[in-house]
Amino acid sequence: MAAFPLTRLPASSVENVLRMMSPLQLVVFSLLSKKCKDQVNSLNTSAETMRIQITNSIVFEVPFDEDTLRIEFYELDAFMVRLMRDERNKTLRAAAKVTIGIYRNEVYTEYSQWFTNKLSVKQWVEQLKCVFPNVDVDWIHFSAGAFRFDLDSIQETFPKIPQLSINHTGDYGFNRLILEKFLPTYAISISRNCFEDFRIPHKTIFTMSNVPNLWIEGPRMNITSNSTL
Amino acid sequence: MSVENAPVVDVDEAAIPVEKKMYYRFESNDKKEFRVSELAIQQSETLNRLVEAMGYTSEDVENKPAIAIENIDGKTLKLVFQWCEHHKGEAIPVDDGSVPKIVEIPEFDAKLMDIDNGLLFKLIWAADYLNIVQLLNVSCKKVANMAQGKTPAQLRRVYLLPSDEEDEAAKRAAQEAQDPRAREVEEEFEERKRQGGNSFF
Repeated sequence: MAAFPLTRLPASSVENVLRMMSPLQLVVFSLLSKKCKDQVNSLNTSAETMRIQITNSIVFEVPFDEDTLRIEFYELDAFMVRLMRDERNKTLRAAAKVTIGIYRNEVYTEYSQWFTNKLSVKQWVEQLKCVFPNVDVDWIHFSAGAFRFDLDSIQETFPKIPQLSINHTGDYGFNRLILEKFLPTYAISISRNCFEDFRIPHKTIFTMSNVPNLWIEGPRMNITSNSTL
Repeated sequence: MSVENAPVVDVDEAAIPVEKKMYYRFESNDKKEFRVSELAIQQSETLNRLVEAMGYTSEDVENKPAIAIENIDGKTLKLVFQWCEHHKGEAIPVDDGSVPKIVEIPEFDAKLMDIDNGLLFKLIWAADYLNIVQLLNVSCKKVANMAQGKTPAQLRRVYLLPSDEEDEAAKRAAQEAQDPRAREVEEEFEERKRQGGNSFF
């Protein structure tokens, strides 16, 4: 595609162009220079919440009316998941590969991916707060595979977590550590499968009792792995 | 009075004066002339004000020289007036300041803007100068669409966007061009700092 000299348009037209870009395009544009970042910031694009999904990758989700902006770091394919199953304490430094997309009804309507990322996950949070000045992390959701990441690094990246959701990460010790590190929060939703034999230790129940909104998901009974198959 | 009771009046349609359509004449900076209907001109706030201020009659339009548009060439102006004629009589959209701004490009406009980027660039400048709100919207939307699915490196190439270093260099060059003495003062200041002086004055 031939180039278009955007910056040589009248300033009002540049603003008009930016206002018509999708959230994905605004994020990508903001990465190009300080000036681009300031231009995008001045649009004051509305987005309020950002959910963080930590599995064997880290995903940011920013919902809009019908669409959701999704940004994924440390993505692993099925082969790499097996290969990296013993990986632990991965810090949230810059992941070279970034996948960013807009999806609607679980289908991508726009998508981009690059392998030259130099921003850490924390810098990405700051970048998104610049693009969407009112956005705040409201939920962090841990689930299968999250144990590969370093919890101190996660805590440093997301110092304030109002709401926490935990499914079994694949490592009971890691599940327990999440609670130790991140409680108290305003709300917590936790699955019983985070605990061995689905039994929540009394100490944990006591700790969670200080959380104003608590949901415990899953069966109350002691279910063996054979009976769930 | 109810509608049913309203008096029925026979209308002799032939007796109704038909308003003669007025076509204004405009000339581009490369001396191409265009005839544009009064209704089409209303899409351009700038031209609409201009013709209102001129108060031309039908005779004036024919007898006086075409209105010169100094900074737009014939090729661009042709597109502008084609667009205005096609959309004449349509309401001019009011910008509510929303982000993202939702704009659909109609089929006619998409075909009209099936042009190279150089001409698209001129078209946006023309729409901005002539203040044609909806033409600006669709042409800017076409430029925004160029960003679809691009990586940062691709987007930099598509929009020819300078890096921070290039922005800094351009800023310095502009400052120097504006005030050559400022550079000398800056160099002198740097030299004194190197020599350990705390105060410039």
